[in-house]
Amino acid sequence: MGLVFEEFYRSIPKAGEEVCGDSVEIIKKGNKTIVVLSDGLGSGIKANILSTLTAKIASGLLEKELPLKEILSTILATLPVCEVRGIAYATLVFLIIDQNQQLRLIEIDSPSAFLFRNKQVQKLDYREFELEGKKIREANFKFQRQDQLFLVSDGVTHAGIGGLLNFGLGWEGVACEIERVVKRSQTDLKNNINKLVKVFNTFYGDQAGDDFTIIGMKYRRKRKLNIWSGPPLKKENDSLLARKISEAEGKKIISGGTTAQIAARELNRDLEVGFKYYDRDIPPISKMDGIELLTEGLLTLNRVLSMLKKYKPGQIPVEGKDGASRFTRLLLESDSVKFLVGRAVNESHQSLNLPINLGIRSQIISQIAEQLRRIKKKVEIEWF
Amino acid sequence: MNEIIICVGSSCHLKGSEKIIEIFKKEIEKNQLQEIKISGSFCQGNCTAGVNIEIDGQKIAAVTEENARGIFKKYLLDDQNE
Repeated sequence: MGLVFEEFYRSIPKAGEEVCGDSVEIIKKGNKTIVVLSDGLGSGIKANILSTLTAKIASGLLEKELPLKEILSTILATLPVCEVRGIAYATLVFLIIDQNQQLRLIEIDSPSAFLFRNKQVQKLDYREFELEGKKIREANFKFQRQDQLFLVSDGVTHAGIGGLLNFGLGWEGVACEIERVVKRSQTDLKNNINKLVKVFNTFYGDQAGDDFTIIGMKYRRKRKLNIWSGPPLKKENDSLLARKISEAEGKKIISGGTTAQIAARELNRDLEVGFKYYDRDIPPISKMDGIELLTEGLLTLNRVLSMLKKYKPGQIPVEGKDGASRFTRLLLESDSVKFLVGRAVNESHQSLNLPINLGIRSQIISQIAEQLRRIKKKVEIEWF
Repeated sequence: MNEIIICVGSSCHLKGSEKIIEIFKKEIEKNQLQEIKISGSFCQGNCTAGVNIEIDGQKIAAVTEENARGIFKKYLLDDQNE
């Protein structure tokens, strides 16, 4: 089973601000991952625009695979510089990791990265040089299977400043917190990021004094997800589909009430129909042995599609206990997704005057597949 | 022991099964009925006439927010008064 590089981040705006002045861009290209973090000077909209500009310029140039030195010169020359203070408006960190797990990290005016290796956090070995009058730190190393790397904006190293702590957590303090949290559970990266955000927020007394961002990265095994939605056109394929989903490798979702009934009948398993609404617009989920998630069909799929459209790579998957949120989470946590789609149409849906068109399963699933490909998931669809 | 089954399939859902469930749950509470099991079901194959429910094995179609209380009374309360 192959490995995949996974990354999660959270950005928290300074208390009272609507938007965060830190920006993160994550690009997956072939077997390469590019991560960019930029922190705009100050906070609020101005900082947000500056950091977005910086992160976009950087990720765009990096994606074009120009020589690194050229990229750096271009970025440094284009970074807006404050006329009064004579310094760049935004900081910049970026890293590129290739299929050989070789990682290259560049930091400009930003806190050093945190490498979690052998149960402790350590600082990387940096080479420093000057370019366009800027001090630049560069680290090159082979990312190991069990390594975890964390990047933060200075809002994290300053957590607690002037309040709980005189000078904030500092690099050592942050290293200590990361080590404590990650040591306890090394597998669930997104949960660890959530925990760390809570810790830093607590140092700020829940009133963040500055925008802050933390990005975590590590390798994990690839995950597979199989989804069966819709009864097949030919009834004799019922048993084939039931067998396919039951024998598939990885996690399983069945989407659709009738589909679930077919599966229960063909596999001779009990079907426990759910009754609990977590969201008024999404019908309840049901239960069957061996199937991770059993949802209603088209309403749920429509919601899944709209959630996927809003998703930006690296974000922590949506919360929520309703069928569509759970469905979306499973999709986002998987690397390859296989759809088994039955194209039979519920005749009675056609004659109804319903607020949305229920007769378009194949279109919705094609659109979901398109969204999944956008965030670099491997998608396969079989029609029946 | 009485049993109510309410369809939560896509089209009954759109026609308001969630509200019907709420109404029935409230009625059960209000009338302090102990011996009632209420649960969901998937499509009962009668979507054009939703919301479809079943009370003690008897199929009832076209249940709406407006007539739900009446149906509840007719099938579950009168029974007790006899």
